[in-house]
Amino acid sequence: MNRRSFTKYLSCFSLSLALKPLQLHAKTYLTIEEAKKILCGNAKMEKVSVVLTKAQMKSIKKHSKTRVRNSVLKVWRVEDKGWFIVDQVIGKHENIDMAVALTKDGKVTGIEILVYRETYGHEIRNDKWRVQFYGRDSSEVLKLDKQIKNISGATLSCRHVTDGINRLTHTWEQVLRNL
Amino acid sequence: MNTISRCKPLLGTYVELTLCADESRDVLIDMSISAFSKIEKIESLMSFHNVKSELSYINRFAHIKACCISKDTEAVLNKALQISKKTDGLFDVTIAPSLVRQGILPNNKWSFADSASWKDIYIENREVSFYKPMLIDLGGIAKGYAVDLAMSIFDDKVNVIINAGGDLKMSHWMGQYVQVKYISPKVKKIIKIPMIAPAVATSANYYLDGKSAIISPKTGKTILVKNSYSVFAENCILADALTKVAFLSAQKNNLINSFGAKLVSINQKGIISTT
Repeated sequence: MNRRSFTKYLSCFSLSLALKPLQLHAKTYLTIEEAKKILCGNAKMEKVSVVLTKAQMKSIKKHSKTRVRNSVLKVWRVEDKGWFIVDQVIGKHENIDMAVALTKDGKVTGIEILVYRETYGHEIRNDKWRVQFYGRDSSEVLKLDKQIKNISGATLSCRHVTDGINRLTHTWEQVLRNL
Repeated sequence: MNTISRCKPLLGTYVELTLCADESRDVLIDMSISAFSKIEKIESLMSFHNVKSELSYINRFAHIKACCISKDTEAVLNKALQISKKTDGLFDVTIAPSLVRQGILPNNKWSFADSASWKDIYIENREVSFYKPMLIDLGGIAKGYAVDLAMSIFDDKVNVIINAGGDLKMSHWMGQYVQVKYISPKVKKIIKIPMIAPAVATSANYYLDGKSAIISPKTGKTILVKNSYSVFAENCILADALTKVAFLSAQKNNLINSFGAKLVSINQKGIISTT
C-alpha cells in the first residue's frame, strides 16, 4: 500500500472511530452472468470499452438531470444490437448495483437488482464518504452484517433506480447508439 | 436443493423473491419469471403513477359511467370496501387527493370531490361506479395483494419468500423470523421477531422526510406518528391494509385482532409492544 492510499485508509478509519459506525445491510442476488441470461436469453454479446468524456458526462447530466458518477461504463453489445449494462445508483439510504437491458432503439426491456446495500446511519451524508467504502472490503471500516435477511420496514421508493435508468437511456441516446 | 434470490424494482419499491426447492437453478429461474409476471400484471393494473393503468381509467371515468374492471382490481376493491366497513372508514382508498397535495402521488389534474369516501364506490358484476368524482389510490393494499397472487402459483414443494418493500409472505413460515427495522435520529435498529402468521407488513414514516402517507379519512389530515407498525396476518393483503388502521385507530389492538391479525409496534425509543 503506498503512502497516499495509506493516509486515505487511515483517515477513513479515524473518521469511523470518531462517529458511530454505520450498520450496513448488503444482499447479493443474481450474478452478472445470470442477469444476462434472464434479461437477454442466450443471445451472444461482447464487452465494449466505453469511457465517457467530460463533455459527454456533462451533457448526459444536463439531459437526464442526474449526476454521472463514473466515466467508465460496463456495457455489452448484444448480437441483436441491443445493450446489456451493469450500473450503480447511490441514494440517501441505499446503494445498488443493477443490470439493465436495452433494445437497439434504446428501450428498457428489463431491470435486475444485483446487489442491494442499505445504510441505517444518517450522520454521514457526504457522497465522497459513501463512495469510498463502495467496492472495497468494507468489513475493515464498517460493521457488515451479511446475515440480515427477511427485512420488513417502511417502503423505500425506487426513485434512485428510476433516475439511474433515465441516466442510462440518455447515455444510450448520446453515446451508445453512435458506436 | 437449490436457492435463487432475485430483486426487481416493481410496485414503486424493491420486490425480492427467494425460492428454495429440489429443482435445478434453471427451473427455479423459470418459476421466478412466472411469479414476477403476476406482480408486473398488478403493477400495470393498479399503479396510480401510470396514466394508462386500469386504476387511472377508473379515476378518470367511473363517476361518469360504470367501468368494467379486471378480476384482480375487483378483488382488491371488494377487500378494501370490506375493511372500510369493518373499521368504520379508518381504512379508505379515497384518500388519494391528500397524497397528491403532498406530492407523494402525481397530480394528473383529474376532478374529485373532497367529500367523497369509500361509501361512494359501487361494484357489481365486475363494474365499478363512483357516486361522486373521486381519486382512489390502492397503494395501501395492492402490494399485499400482489404478494399473495405471486405466492399462489407455487406448491408446497417450493420454499418461497416474497418481500415487496416490507410486505412479506413466507410459504414455510413456522419457526422463521422477520427482521423489523426502525430508524429515527436517535435509534437505528433491526429487531428480530418470530413469524406468527404467514404474512407481515410494516408501515412507518421514517423515509418520507417529514411527509406522511397516512391520512385520516375523517379529517383529511396527515398523521405524523413516529411509531412503526407491523401487522401479522394470514394473507398479505390484510396485513398491508391493517398497518394503516394501526396508525389511525385508538383501539388498534382490538380492531386488528378482530380480523384475526396481530400488531407489533415499535416506538421512537425502539421499544416493542405487542398484542
